[in-house]
Amino acid sequence: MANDLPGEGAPAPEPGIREREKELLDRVRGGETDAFEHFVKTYQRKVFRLVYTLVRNAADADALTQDVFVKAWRAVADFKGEAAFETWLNRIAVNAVRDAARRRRPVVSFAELADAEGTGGAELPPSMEPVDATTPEREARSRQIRRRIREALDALSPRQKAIFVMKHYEDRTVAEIGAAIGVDDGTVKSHLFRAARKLRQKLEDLR
Amino acid sequence: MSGRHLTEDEVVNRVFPAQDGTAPIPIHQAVCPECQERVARLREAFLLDRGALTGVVESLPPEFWTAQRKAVMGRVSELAALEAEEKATPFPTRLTRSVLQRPALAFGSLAAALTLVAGLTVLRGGDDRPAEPEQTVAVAEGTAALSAADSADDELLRAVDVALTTESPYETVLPEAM
Repeated sequence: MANDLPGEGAPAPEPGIREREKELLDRVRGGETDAFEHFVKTYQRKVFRLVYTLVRNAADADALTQDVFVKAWRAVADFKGEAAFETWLNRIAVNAVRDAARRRRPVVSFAELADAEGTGGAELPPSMEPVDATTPEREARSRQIRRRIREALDALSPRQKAIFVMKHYEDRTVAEIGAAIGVDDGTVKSHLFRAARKLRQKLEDLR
Repeated sequence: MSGRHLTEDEVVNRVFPAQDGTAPIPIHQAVCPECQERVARLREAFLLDRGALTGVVESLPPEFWTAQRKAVMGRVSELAALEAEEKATPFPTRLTRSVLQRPALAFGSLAAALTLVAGLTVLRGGDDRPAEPEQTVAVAEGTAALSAADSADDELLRAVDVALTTESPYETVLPEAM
């Protein structure tokens, strides 16, 4: 399978950047931990955004983002540089979220807690929760729609959810997603179609 | 109005295309307010969510990112120091240290290994010991049955011999009345 090769279809960073990253990675492999900070600084927002969209909880996303970078640092010797570093990080991030979801499965989710408390979305501190403050009704509806979308996304399989989020929330191409997840383009498209259909069904009554 | 209304799948594909880029708008949708409304409703719901998530990430203060970066680099430095120490420490010391650091884990592993060995020993011994008497009994029973059958055959042969030597050839097969 051609797309099983990591990095295929991934965005090619500018040659200068790639060279610079290669040089820094060599230094990290040589034991210069400080050189790794460049990668954290460059990609932390992107990784956080992806993880946050998947878990919808700022504290969890923060912890998982940190884990992603620590895992990347530990595995940097295995990174051959065939893929873009960002693609490789995305793969680690998606796997980290999936593993965290597996570990957490028996526990009550934040979303369930939020529903039980009637808040409809306690995943963020009030100051961080985005609101549409035009009118109270509109704000309530906005929260309701977001909660329903979150539930619909949670109903997808972890892989389907990751693929859907990368495509529609992160604007990644099919090839980039395939490289990050480790599947071919056809599989990505198939997951995208099925995920979108499930989402539509779940949101059917939001009218 | 041109053509039929969009199906549910077509509405979904308008908002969440599975392929890259944007698909051309179907002629029907371009002129049908009902289909436009269906597509717009789904798109609006999705964009609302997406925009909100983007807003959250973008509104995080610089201190958040700095703290996150420091936390990562702190963990990385800690791990690097541990690894360097591991490499510099001779094997027996490393073993002793790991036992001291995680006694429950070390002794738990030891206990599990001993239990496994003991279990295997018992199972192996248990297989052999009962099997021996069973085999002996089976062999003895088999031998007894065989010798009983042999004796019966021998007796029959002896009877046939006696009959052949003492009686005339037809005496045994001809009815007495004849």
